Amino acid sequence: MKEADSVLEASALAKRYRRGVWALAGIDLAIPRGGITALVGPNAAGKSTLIKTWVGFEKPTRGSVRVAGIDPWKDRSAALAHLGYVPQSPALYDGLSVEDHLDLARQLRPSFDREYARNRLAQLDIPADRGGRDLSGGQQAQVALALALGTRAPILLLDEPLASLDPLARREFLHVLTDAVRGDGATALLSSHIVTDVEQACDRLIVLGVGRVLLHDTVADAMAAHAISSTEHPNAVGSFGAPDGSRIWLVRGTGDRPATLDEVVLGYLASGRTERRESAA
Amino acid sequence: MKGLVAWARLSFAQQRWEILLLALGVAVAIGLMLWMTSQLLGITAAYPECDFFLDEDQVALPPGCDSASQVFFGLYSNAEIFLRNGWLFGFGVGLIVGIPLVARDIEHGTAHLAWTLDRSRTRWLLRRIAFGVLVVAVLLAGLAIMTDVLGAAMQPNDDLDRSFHFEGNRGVIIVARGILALGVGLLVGAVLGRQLPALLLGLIVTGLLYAAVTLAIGRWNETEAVEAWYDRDLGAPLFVGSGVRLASGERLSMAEFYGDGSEAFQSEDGQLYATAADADAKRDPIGQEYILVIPGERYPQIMARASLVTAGAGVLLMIGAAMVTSRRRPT
Repeated sequence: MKEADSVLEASALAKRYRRGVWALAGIDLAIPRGGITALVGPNAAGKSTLIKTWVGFEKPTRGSVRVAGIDPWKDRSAALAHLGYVPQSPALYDGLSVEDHLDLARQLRPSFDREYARNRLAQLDIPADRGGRDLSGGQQAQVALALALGTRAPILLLDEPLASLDPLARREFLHVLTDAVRGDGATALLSSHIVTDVEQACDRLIVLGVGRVLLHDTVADAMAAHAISSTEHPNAVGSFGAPDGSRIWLVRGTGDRPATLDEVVLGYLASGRTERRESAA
Repeated sequence: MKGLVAWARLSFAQQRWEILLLALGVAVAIGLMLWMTSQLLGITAAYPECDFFLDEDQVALPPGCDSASQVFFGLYSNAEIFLRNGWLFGFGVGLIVGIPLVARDIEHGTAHLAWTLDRSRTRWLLRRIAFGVLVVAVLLAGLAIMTDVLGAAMQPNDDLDRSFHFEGNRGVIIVARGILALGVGLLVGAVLGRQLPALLLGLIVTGLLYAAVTLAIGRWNETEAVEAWYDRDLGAPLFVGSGVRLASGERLSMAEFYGDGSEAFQSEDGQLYATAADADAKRDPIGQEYILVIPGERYPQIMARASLVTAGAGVLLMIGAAMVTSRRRPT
């Protein structure tokens, strides 16, 4: 799948690690310009691998990826010019203060907008003279986000930055991200396994399971196109256990009641698991 | 200029503890060497009439020289222990500065940050290397100068610019060893991405590599050595080897000549004879024992070359580290 206005593309992308595990098994994706896209999936679904392939940290075993039309493995420097990246654990330098991190970012990337990043952090009352490692997890994540936003890159890749944050810190992080992306007209890809957060902040949804794309749609369309059935259904995508212990089915079209985004994601993840069992058998 | 200062400040902040610790160690070592130097120069100046290096069995020393000589050589022994083991500083400083340059970023996860903010990993690494080389050079330059000063105080009769006394334990070679170890630390750290294992492996690799470099330099020196014998004043040359030149002109190593149980009688000028009677009469020599030396006046040239080879090996390792870093994962 390739669209004219796509800023992040993957074509028949497969990635196998040395130990023989396929992290990605044929991904075709085209993420359009603008807005926030959520990349959702369980652990080991390949979310980080996919993002790291776009950043140029991982080389595709098969297929290719493009960032603003550039293959990051062939021209990493040009691809990185379009990217801001927030890693999974926002590691900051031990011996550097927040302000030092902004200075360092300016040294590493001369186009880094220090004032912009500084203002973002000031709005959150993050002390500029505090050491990176002395900040709370939420503050560290905010510094990592400010460093990515300060690049003023048109594309932001965020690799599960919410995973270790408490609900309030997650909310603040998403608020800053949404505000920045909407304000700058940037494109963000946010990997997460916390669906409730995704629902608030994201425009598009990609469900990744067993190294494949199970669903790629706008959040609104994904919710509108699916429903929940309490009985087995010919249009069922997948079934999973409801909180009350009963079994429910996610179906395309109409069912007993509308599906929540959480249920849409669960239904597709369940379908991926079923496919894997069948292929193994 | 402002950018360079900022870069140096930020680079220092990332490695401040090991740099401060090394600077303290170097300062203590320099302080000790200064103290030893002053003591040695003091006793030499206090007894200008005493030449401590004269053979007292052959020359009668003025009164008081005996006790002064004992004090001098007591200090000399301590200084020699220090000087002969001071080479460890070069390797230590190089490894401790070199290993974290890449390995710490990988180990602490900050490589994700650095390698996406800077669009070129090679440029990022070059700046890191430049800072590391600067730190190693500054720290070890003081030691290099001080070892020369201490050596000169220990050998007051020698011009150490034309002498192989304490060869390899003084001067710029110490800085070159630091550059070699920096290269090892950088490469091993980039490959392993973990500091402690890199330190352990780095020690082994540095030892092996230094042995190889020393062997290569030794072989190179052999090609430029000249034959000599002890019957003429050699000053303080570099001993490279020894052997026997037979009357036929054939050259044999000492092992080859004496290995088959051959016995020979040697005169003072190194001539070899088959019998004691021949030796006494200096009749029918069967060969001439010789030593291979590089004269002391070539010391600056030989040490400059050894330093360049050693530091050059370090630079090659840095290039290897750049290749590894440009392709490896940040974790």
